[in-house]
Amino acid sequence: MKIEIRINGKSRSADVDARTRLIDVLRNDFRLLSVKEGCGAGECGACTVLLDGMAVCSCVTPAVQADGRDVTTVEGLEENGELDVIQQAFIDCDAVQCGFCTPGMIMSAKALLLKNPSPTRDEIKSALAGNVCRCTGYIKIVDAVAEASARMGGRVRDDLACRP
Amino acid sequence: MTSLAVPESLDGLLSLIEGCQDRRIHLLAGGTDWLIRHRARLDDRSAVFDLSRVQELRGIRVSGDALIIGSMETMGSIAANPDAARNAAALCDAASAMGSVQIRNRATIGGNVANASFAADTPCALASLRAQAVIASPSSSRTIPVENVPSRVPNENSLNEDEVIASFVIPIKEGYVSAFGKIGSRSEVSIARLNMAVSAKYDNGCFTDARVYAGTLGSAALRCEAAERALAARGGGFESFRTALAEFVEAAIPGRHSLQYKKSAIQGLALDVAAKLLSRARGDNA
Repeated sequence: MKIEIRINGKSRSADVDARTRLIDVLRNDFRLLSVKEGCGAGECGACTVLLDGMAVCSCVTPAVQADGRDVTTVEGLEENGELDVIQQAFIDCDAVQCGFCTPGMIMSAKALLLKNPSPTRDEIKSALAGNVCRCTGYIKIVDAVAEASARMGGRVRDDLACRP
Repeated sequence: MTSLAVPESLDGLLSLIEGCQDRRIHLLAGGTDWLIRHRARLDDRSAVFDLSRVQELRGIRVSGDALIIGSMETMGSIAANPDAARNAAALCDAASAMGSVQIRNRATIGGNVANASFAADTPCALASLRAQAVIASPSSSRTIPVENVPSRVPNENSLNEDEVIASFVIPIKEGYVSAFGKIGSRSEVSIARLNMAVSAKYDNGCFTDARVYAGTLGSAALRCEAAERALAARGGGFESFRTALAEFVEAAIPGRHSLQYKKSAIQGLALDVAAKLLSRARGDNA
């Protein structure tokens, strides 16, 4: 079955069957390798992408259900050669260790900040609860999302140690 | 070869189902469990029907004295729905406590019920709310109590292969309140080690006509009538309520290695759920 998906702003088509997951299309057909397969069971969040602006685990999303919809991966965040504010905040806050979980963390953060530009720290933790970091760098990751939120709102936070 | 169809109406879905008697029918809802469980097992006899475009399976609305929830509504959409919050608070509790944000954006209530996990959260809440499942098939439709959907075999439902859960009908009862709680290994994104839901009429400081269900103690959520009586007979506290639940656990899972843990844990959970129920009854929060 042929499906049409708008991926990172570009219309793409793919042949899928009942077994095809969204992650398979993104990685294998379109080489969007930021989308990581960790657990393959919707538990670790490494494969998180936005589907119509909502965070989903692409490893447990049937590809056929993405037909006609918008998908955003980390590759789609950069604009005119500039990193998204969340990506830059992750760098500035040293929120990246091995990096495997980072794309999923960033996409979960993106979904949160699209919906709630000024989340509390608890709201950030809750939004990232489905993303596992095996390096256990959670504090800096939460810092980075808080920093991105502050930068988006033009605010300066004094409570973070990660300001550049 | 495995077939895949994407019908856009319930009639279209049912006529497709009717036309494939010699195939093994798979109904694909949100896919969060289905892909893990069935993806590697599909064979040439498999006929997969994607339900995501069937309009009749969508929607949350109040109709007369009932709240009607389409089976393809997601946990996220239910948790955020004001009609559901007003009339089925226990279900909203369960929907918002299930999985991660990513899973709640995909997982459907119909899938959660049909999947028939003994640890599922929404079936427990739905049962306490006296929900009925509306089942459609090519030959007929029927309505059954939601607690009759799971079979006695773990992780299998009692529906015929050509049957589809179309919606859930939850009666709206004046003066009733409800609440759900769970205990897992984490505060978020955890499968319930215990879950529990209560709905009851609150009148002049008393809870009556209660429905109390607890999950993870059998192949499906179990009703605890002794706890319902204890809730009605309570004085100022919930001691007899939690004691009744502890005795219920002891009778439900004798000899199981988790008995002592669950017997203790359900008492704390009972107090948490009762406190939430009382708070809602008094109008402390919506």
